Amino acid sequence: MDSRTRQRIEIETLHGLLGELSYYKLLLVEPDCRPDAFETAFRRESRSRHPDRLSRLGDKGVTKMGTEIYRTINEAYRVLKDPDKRRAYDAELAQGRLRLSEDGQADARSAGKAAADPAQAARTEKGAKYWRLALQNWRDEDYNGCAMNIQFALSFEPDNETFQQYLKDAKEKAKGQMAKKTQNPYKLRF
Amino acid sequence: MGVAIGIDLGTSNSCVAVVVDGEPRVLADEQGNKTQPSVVALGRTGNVVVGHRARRNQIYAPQSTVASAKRLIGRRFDSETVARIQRNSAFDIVEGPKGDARVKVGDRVLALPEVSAMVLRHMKEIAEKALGQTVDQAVITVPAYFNDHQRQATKDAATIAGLQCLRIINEPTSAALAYGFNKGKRQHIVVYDLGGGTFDVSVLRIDDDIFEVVATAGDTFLGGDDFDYAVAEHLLHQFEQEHTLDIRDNRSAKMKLRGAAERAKVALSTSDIVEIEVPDVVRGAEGQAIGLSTVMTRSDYAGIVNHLVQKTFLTCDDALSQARMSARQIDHILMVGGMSRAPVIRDAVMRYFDKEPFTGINPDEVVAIGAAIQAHNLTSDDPDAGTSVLVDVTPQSLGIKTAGGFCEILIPRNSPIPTDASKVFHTAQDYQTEVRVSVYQGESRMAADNEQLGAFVLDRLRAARRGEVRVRIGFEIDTDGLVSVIAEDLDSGTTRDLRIEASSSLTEEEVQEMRFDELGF
Repeated sequence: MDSRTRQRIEIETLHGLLGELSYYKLLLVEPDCRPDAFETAFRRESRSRHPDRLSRLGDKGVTKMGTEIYRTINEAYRVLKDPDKRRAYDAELAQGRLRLSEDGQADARSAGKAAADPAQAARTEKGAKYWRLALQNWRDEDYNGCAMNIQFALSFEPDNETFQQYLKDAKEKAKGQMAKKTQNPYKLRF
Repeated sequence: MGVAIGIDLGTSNSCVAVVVDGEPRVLADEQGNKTQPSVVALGRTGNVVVGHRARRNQIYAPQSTVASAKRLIGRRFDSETVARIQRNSAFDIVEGPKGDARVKVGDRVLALPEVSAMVLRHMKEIAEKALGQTVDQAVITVPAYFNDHQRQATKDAATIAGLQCLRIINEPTSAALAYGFNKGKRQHIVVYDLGGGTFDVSVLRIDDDIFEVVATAGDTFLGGDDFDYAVAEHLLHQFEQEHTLDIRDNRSAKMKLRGAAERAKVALSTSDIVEIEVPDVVRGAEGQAIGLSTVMTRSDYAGIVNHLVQKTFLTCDDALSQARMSARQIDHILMVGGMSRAPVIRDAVMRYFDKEPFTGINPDEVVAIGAAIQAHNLTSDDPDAGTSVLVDVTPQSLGIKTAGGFCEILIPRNSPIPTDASKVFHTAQDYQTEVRVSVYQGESRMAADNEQLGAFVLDRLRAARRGEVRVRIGFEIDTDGLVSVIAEDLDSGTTRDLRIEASSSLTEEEVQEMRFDELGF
């Protein structure tokens, strides 16, 4: 197999894998690596992955794939070298999202907005009734009661995303409360 | 397939080079000139002359001669820059149909890409004569901070001239390629490029075969021409005082003083004192010649241009601070551009960086040589040819206008290219079916202070409650530094490709219509 064919197959394979690689895997670094590792990695990857490396193949399709790969490498570097963005990315990665997209950030922002005025989230009269109760439970830090009322509200509006989000959060909080209750007596023994 | 060349399309002068048998070679015209003035003149019969012949025309028919067209390319007619150029130009600048600046030469109005295309075609012909082969591909250089409009217009010029533009590369990067800084340890290099019309300074980091532009800064209004203007202004002032005359509106007198100023500047590169004689600046009331006769020393000259020299260092400060480096951390300084030959400049650069600058390659040719090397790297079949990879960066931040007129940056400046970014837009009102997006390039927080690349409207959105309809706008910057925009309606999943159609850019059709080869030139 000549070097051109090898290069072509390599690009096609990597392009096919692009949707399954985290930024860390793309830059071939460990997720717990030191911040200065990204620069070295980016330069190493630039050397082998810059689309100019493919110009001698004269194949527009391969160049296009190579450009997409390199743009993603650039994106990985842009995110990981910035400590704030890296933190945000690590959080998304823990949720199974491999790219820190503007979509993700925008979704986070719009979720924030809904939380600012959750009282308007209900769309039906009966849903609104249980939703008001649920919000009151939330303020009283009664997360088990809150989860129950949201489940009632959801029976009228099964597709309400705000309800679903709050239900998930309320269940988390309730679990946390339980953990605290069971943990505290244990701690008292020390 | 023809040969691929490298062209330094300069503000004042242009140069063409090619790699033959692995060695870069600058190509000269039949008279042996290795650089050509980037001047275009229209003769009485409508014939186009370019280069040295056009330059001679400038003295006799300044109105029909266009020089320094590169300063105007990709600019809007109503910009301050254009007004400033008009004050110092003998040819007329007029407004194009879409608000772009155009030039009037004789009775023809030309778009700037057409003027640059004439220069590029001239360089192509010189290369073809020198090589005895057809040339159809080129790498063309631009100042590092050229925005999308200016890069696009340059690319359009290549198309009009019948050249396939392989790549637009930044001049300082090209100079570093020419010096072959692609072997050995990591080093930081400053390219100090003081050309005829522009000043560019870039900090490059070179590690083995990776060329990375760490920072770049520049001034479109600082170059040899300004040094000439400064000296000409000085001479004009001296002349007016001596003869109590007002010659500010006398274009031919100003041209003569400009010529004298330029000759004095060149002479002062090699001697400490120069005599300036212009026997015939204007004619008096009786038709007698009134001339100028004076003497200028190198230190007089240094005084006249000192403010310009200092201005270059303000730009250097900017580039270094972007790179978070001090002048002493720089390993080498490359001098580029004709003006960098001036001892006044070299001495000042040496003091600023505390290091002797590199001048090994002719500063007029070094950029074209680098472009030729890149052209060779991109076209060669030899697997060992492409040993250098050029990782370039975006010269300016790319952003969009947000509520309140602010500019939200999506791709910060000095990001490696090619790159992309995307943003999701939500409808802000109930049943809104259109979203308008304005794209800007620049560093100001206020959108209005940046260069607007274009605006586009996304229409036919689903009528729904506010915030329900989401549109993702993707921005891409390609290896030439050109911006394109893709819009995707997340609701329907439909994608639309939109090249940024800035009001002042030529359309694809216009470029095709202007092509010389199709007009049978």
